[in-house]
Amino acid sequence: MVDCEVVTRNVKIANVDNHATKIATREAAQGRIDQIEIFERELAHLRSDRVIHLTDSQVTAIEAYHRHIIHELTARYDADASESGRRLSMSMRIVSLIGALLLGSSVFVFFYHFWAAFNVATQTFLLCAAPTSTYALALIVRARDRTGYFSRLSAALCFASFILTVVILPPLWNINLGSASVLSCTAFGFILAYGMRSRLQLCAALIGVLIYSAALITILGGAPWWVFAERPENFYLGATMLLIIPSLISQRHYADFGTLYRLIGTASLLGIFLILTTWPSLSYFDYGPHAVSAAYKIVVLTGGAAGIYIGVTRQLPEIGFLSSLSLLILIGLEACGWLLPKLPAYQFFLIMSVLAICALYVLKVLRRRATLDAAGISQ
Amino acid sequence: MNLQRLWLPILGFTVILVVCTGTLLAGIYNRSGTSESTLRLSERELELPTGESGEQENTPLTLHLLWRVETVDQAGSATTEASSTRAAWITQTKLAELEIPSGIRPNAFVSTFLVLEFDGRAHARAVSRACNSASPSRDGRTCEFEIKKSSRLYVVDAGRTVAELRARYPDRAHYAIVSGVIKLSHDLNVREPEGYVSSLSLETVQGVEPLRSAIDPTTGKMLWRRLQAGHFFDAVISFGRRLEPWNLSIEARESEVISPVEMPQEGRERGFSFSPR
Repeated sequence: MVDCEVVTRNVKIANVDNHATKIATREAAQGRIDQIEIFERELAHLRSDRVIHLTDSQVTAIEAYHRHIIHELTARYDADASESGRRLSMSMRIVSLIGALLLGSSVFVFFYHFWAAFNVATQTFLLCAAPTSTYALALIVRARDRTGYFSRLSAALCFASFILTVVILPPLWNINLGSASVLSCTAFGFILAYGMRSRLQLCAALIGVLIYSAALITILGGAPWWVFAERPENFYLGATMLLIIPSLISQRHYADFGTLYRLIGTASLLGIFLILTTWPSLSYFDYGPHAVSAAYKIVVLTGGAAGIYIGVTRQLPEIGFLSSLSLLILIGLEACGWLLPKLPAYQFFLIMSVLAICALYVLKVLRRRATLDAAGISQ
Repeated sequence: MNLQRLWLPILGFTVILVVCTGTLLAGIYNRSGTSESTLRLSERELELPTGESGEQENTPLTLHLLWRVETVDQAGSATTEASSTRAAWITQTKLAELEIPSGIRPNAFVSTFLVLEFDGRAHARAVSRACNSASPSRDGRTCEFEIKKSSRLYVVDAGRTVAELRARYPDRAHYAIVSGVIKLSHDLNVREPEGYVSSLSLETVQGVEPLRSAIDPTTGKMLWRRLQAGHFFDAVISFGRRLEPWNLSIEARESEVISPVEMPQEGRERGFSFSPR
C-alpha cells in the first residue's frame, strides 16, 4: 500500500511540469496557486470534521505535489504564494500604472520642450522613429519579462509615442487625417492590449471603438467627425459591439478583458440612456422633449432591470452593478425632480427608504435563485 | 515559420508604417502638381505663435490662419470671434443651394467647401464701413485698425463641389477653396436659419525655415515676444490637391501693409488689388 502511494506520488510530481507548462500567463499561474491554497484550507476542514481520512503519507504526497507546483509557478511567472506578496503585487500594479502614465507624459514633454531645435526632416524622422523603436523595445521586454509589469510599462511608452506621432505628424505636413487618426490609435491600442496583455491599452482601444463608431455615424449624417459627441445616440453602435464581442470571441485567455468589454459597453449604454432622460433635446428623435425623456426613462427602467437579471443569472457582476447604479441614479433624479418639492421631507425620505427596501428584496430573491442554480438545487 | 508568434510584430509595425508613410504620402500628394490656389498673406492674416504657454515650450513654426466673416451690417468680425459671428451670406437660399433641408435642427454642423477671399470685396466693405465719415458710429481707432492691422481674409461663400466654386471664383491668387464646417442655428424672432462658419479643416500652417531666425540658436527660446514691434512679413501660402495649405516662402518686411480707403466699385470682382512689393 505504501509503495503504491509512493509510486502515485512520484507520478504526480513527475506530472507537475506538464501541468505547469499548460499555464501560459501570470494570471493563470496566480489562479492555480490561489486554487491550491483554497483546496488546502478546505482539506484541513474536511480532515478536522472527519469527513475523509487520509494517511500521513497521502497528505505528505499532496503537500509535496502542491509545493512543487507553487515553486515551479513562482519561479516561472513570479506569481505570489503569500498574502503579503499579493498585496505587494497590487502595489506594483498601481506603481506600474502610474509609471506608465508618467513615462508617457515624459515622452510628450520631452518632444515638446526640444521641438523647436529640429528641422522638419529631423522632426519627421523622430516622429516615425519614436513608435517604431519603442514598439521594438516593448517586444524585447515582453520576451524577457516574466512578471508582465515591465512589458506593460513599455507598452504604455510605445502607445504614448504612437499617439504623439498621430497628433503631431499630420499638422507638420499640413494634413488633416480626420477620424482616421482615431482609427489608427484604436487599432494600435488593440494590438498592444492583446500582445502585452495590458488592460490600460484595452481601455484606450475600447474608448477608441466608441469614438470611431460614433464618428462614422456622424460623417454619414454629413457633419464633421469631431462633433460625434453632439448626439449621444451615436455611441449605440460602439456600445452594443462592446457588449456582444466577449460572447462571440472568447476572452478567457486574457484576464479581465471580457469584464472590461462588458463594463465599458454597459456603462456607455446606460450612460447614454441617462443623459437622454435628462437632456432629451440631444436625441435624434424629434417627438418633443417630454415624449423622448419619458421613453428613455422607460428604457432605463427596463434596461436596468434586464441588466440586473442578466448580471445575477449569468454571473456577470459588472453588468448587475452598473444596472443597479443606473436605476438608482434614475430613481434619485426623478425623486429629487418631482417628489421632493411636492412632499414634506419626512414623507419623501420614507418613500425612498421603502423603495430601497423593495430593491433589496428583489436583489435578494435574484441572489438566492443564482445561488441555488450554482449549487445545482432545483426549487 | 510560426505565424502565430509573429502576428504581434507584423501587425504592430504594419500599423506604424501605414500611419507614418500614409501621412507623408498624403502630404506629398497635396503638394504635387499645380496648386489649387496660392495666396500672398502677411502678418495680418497669419498669427505667429505668441509663446503664451512658456517661451521655450512651443512649436514656433506654426502659423495660425486668421480668417473673418462679414456680418449682416457689412462689418468684419473679429478674428477671435469669427466662428461665433453670424455670417451674412448664409441665407435660406444658400442652404437650399447646399441641399441642406430647411427643417434642420438647431446646432447642426455641416461639412462643406468654403471660399476664402483675400483682400477682396468683403474687406473693402468692412474698411469703408469703419472709415465712413458719414457714419455716426465712426471710430478713428477702428478705422485705423481695419486699414493697418486687421485680417483681410474672409470666408465668403460655400458650395457642394470645388469645380462649382472655382467656376464662380476663378481668381486663384485671391480666392482659395478649403474644406470646412458651417454651423446652423435658428433665429427664433424671424424663423430664419442662422449660419456660422464653425471652422476650416486645417487652420494652422507650418512655417518654413527662415522663421527659425526668430529662435535663439543657443537656448532654443522663442524671440517672438521681443520682436513684437515691427515684426512684419509676407508669406506665400499654397492650397494643394487636398485643399490643405502649406507655406511656400516667408520674407521679412520693413513696414506694415496698409489698405487704401476706397469705396468698392459696383460690379468689380475685387475691391482692392494686391500690389506686390
